[in-house]
Amino acid sequence: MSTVLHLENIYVCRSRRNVVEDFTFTLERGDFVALIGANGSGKTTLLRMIMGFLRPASGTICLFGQPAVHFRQLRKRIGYVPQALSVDFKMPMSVRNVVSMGRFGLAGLGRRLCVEDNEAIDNAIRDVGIKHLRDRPIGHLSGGELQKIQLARAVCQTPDLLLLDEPTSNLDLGAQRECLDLICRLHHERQLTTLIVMHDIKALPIYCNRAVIIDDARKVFDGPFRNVFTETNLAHVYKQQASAILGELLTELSAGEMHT
Amino acid sequence: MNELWQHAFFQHALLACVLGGGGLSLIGVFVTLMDIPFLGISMSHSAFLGAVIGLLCGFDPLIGAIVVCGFSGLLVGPLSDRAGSSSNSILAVIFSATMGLAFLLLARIPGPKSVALNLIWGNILTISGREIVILGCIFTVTVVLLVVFFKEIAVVLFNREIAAACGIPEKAFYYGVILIAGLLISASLDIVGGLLIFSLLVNPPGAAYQLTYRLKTMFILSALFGIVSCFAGLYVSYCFDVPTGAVIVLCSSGIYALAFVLSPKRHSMSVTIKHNRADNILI
Repeated sequence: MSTVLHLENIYVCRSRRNVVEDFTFTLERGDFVALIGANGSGKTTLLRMIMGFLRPASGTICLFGQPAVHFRQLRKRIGYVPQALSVDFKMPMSVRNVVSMGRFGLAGLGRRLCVEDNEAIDNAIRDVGIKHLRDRPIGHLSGGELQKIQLARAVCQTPDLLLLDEPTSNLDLGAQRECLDLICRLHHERQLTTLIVMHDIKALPIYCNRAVIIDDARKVFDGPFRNVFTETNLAHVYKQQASAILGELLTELSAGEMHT
Repeated sequence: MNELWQHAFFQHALLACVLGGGGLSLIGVFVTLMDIPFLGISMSHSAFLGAVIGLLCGFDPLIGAIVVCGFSGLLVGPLSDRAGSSSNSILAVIFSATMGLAFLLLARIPGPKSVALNLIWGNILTISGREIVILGCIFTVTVVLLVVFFKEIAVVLFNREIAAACGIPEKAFYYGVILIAGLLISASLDIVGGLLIFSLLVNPPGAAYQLTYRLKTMFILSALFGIVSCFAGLYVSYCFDVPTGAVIVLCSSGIYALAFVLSPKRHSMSVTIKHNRADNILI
């Protein structure tokens, strides 16, 4: 197994406060890891730092086996879906226009998209299941459809690493599971390495092979998803409601196991 | 009207319609989609300050206007990024600072101040050949950059973070777009003047936006509407002997109104609303 991402003793400081503290973490090729934590615990900061949008105060970032220095080049190998995309969806663009953006960096500055780029775009549109939306203006889409388009844009980059920041936020329960199913399918079909920020802890066993919990800027748990389900761990995410949620989870898990 | 074609001032005016009207309407697409309508007002007052500095120091006011506009354009992007505030807020700060400084320096100019004040009012019929050459150069650079880097500009307009995530040097493009916009505004001020330039930046792209869902088409339509507004304004002002700048502005507003009425987007939206209402009644 090769290491896709390695973070060593990372500190990120904003407004004289540590938003990520002493964070060490490794992501191996093929991993599907969930990053869990309460709001404001530092999950998005961590993802933005991996993308090179924020610089750590100290610590080292290694991407694809090399120290991350030239982020603009490295980003071409990372598919990134941000949390709340501040896009004016009245923008005069079609779904294909937005998906094709994933190839712009790879095509090169001032160069037109080549046949290979167009094939990658069409494959991403097909794999994500949005062929019927291809020529539709982006302003005519629902929240779930927009999320799929973001996902298609990220995977058409043919990335080695997929970073997803709460891709299911703003979606109803049905659409959340549909979106996670799609991410899981793409992860396996395209042999991706995926780091996903998510709140739906119940979905963990279905999709992820590992979970990382962050609380108050620090990593408090990193291991197989089954070991996540302890009251101490859940207290980091759900605070006072931890024991109630744990009971609910264990009941659901055992019911699922009996069912299978 | 036929004898007018032989006059240099009229030929210059026609060229200014194409280069200025078309150019302003092209960068108006950036202004509209980046939601920075204050850019026009802010840059025209920067140009005013540049012209005043030029007069005070004894060099060409137009060159002064272009230099100060370029400098202001370069400041907007980095300042808004560093301050963590919107570009509009920074443009407002630049507007007030350049305005204050311009009037402070204006009081120190001995004699007539009409050259500087002309930039505020503008007159397409007084544009010189040299001004046309400068405008033509900036217009050509704008069009070439837009054609060559269309995909990069499109993704920056869509979302800067996505642009950066795709490996595009988004800061360079964002700052560059504002710089080019500033230069083109300063070189086009003589067409309608600083106070009315806002309309050529907003009305043609606004009209184009009503009629298309494609970014490329929006750029082309916007430039066409800008040129048509200028030609129509020139013709109407000649026929009825009224101020050209004001009529150009009214023509561009008229085109916007027409596009708004004919917009397929509005129609499709009203159909959707009607459908939704019908659904609600059934429920």
